[in-house]
Amino acid sequence: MKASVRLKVRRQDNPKSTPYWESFEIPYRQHLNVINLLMAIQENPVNEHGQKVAPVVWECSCLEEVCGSCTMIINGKVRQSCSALVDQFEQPIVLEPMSKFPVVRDLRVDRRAMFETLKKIQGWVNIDGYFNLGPGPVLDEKIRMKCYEYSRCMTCGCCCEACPQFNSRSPFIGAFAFGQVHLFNSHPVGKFDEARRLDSIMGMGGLADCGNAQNCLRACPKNIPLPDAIAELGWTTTKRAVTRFFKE
Amino acid sequence: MAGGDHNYFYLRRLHSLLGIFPIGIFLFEHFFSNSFAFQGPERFNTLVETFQTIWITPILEVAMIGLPILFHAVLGLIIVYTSTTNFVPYSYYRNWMYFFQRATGLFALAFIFLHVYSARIAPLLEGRHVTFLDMQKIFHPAWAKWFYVIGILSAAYHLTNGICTTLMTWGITVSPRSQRITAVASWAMFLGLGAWGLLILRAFL
Ligand code: HEM
Ligand code: FES
Repeated sequence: MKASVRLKVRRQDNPKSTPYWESFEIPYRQHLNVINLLMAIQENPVNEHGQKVAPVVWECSCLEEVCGSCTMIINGKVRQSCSALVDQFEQPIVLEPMSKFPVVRDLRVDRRAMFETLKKIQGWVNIDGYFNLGPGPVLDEKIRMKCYEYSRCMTCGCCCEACPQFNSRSPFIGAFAFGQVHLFNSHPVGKFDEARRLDSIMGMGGLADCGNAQNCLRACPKNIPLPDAIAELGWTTTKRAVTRFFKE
Repeated sequence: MAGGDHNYFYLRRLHSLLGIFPIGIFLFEHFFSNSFAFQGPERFNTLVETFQTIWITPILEVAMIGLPILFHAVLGLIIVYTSTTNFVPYSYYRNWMYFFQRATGLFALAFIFLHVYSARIAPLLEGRHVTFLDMQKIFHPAWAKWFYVIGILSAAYHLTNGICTTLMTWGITVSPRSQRITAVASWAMFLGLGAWGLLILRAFL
């Protein structure tokens, strides 16, 4: 077996400094994942030339591909690093921060833009207060199953990173937002705010800016059918536009 | 949200609609009437004369083709400006189609501009209508032939793939299965439309 793993990291010391590449050699063990490699660097922050360097900064939390915080570009493609098994990659394994979000340091990026988007589209169900509302309305099983798929979104940013329309020249808000609009508009109580959510995705950067490249479908680690949500909303927003034009 | 921001949705829906109607329909009509070239120079010239002497033709040309294409192209250029390409790391079918939709749009813009200028505006400035012979002159240089081949294929692709994306944009084809079927159908249409256009070109050579 290989004695060591070669790792190449695109580093950046602070949001304004110039990025640079640094390589590391990490002792090979079986079943290593990319997070293990980064932890090994943290324990022994020495680069391939034997120089002591600042340990590589990255984010992770759940370590089971449900929180999305460890998302980065591995060998050119965006994905979660906690579920990226070393044995599945060609070496050197090249790690880069996501390119569509501002870098905080090294592999850590600021994904606040997505959070702001969720606030804008009202990615939640409004309730009146803290009192007991009794049992909720029953959902059609088919709708519930669809909703479950969209509910698995962890706002990791893969759909934004892989999307050719999501970039600094475009106000496009990213595909995840439409999955969430679709999810909360399918909810019997969330439905009350349907018009507001639809309006929130009908401006610049909204649904109409989607160019149907459908990379979101391929990039989503949860296989969320985002293009389905986009196409469904394509019709509901059109109806909403007609309503707005003639009735409001 | 600002008022202009609200209008954006309507503008994009208009852009999408205009691509099919009237621009897409016109492409068919254009291929149809130019097919008279298959029957020889006289038939072609008579057709042009007949069309161009109807009083409503210039009005239709401006209102039904010129202005819609102008709007579609201006917003189209903005859309192209806001797009990027990433088919190297993400080499997927629809991502390539996304790229080609934009590339063919740009090429079609240059093509349509020169085509309209040389075949419609230049003769108009001389106070006459284009003839079979004029077209042969236009096609004479080798580069012109290639320019037309790529232009015709660009327009055909842009329309046929555009039909696919329009169906998605308007929420008609939602399921992956229906999108696959329309994708196959659009390629069949591309082959038909492309071949038809190239045959018309050959009729002049
Ligand atoms: C031959 C004349 C043309 C025809 C028949 C045509 C037709 C279409 C159609 C049907 C669509 C699909 C709309 C949708 O997906 O909703 C489209 C999209 C597009 N067109 Fe054109 N078009 C033409 C010329 C142009 C020109 C000159 C440009 C200028 C660059 C252009 C730029 C675009 C762009 C960027 C899109 C993508 C829009 C999107 O994905 O939402 N088109 N076109
Ligand atoms: S650490 Fe949560 S997804 Fe990787």
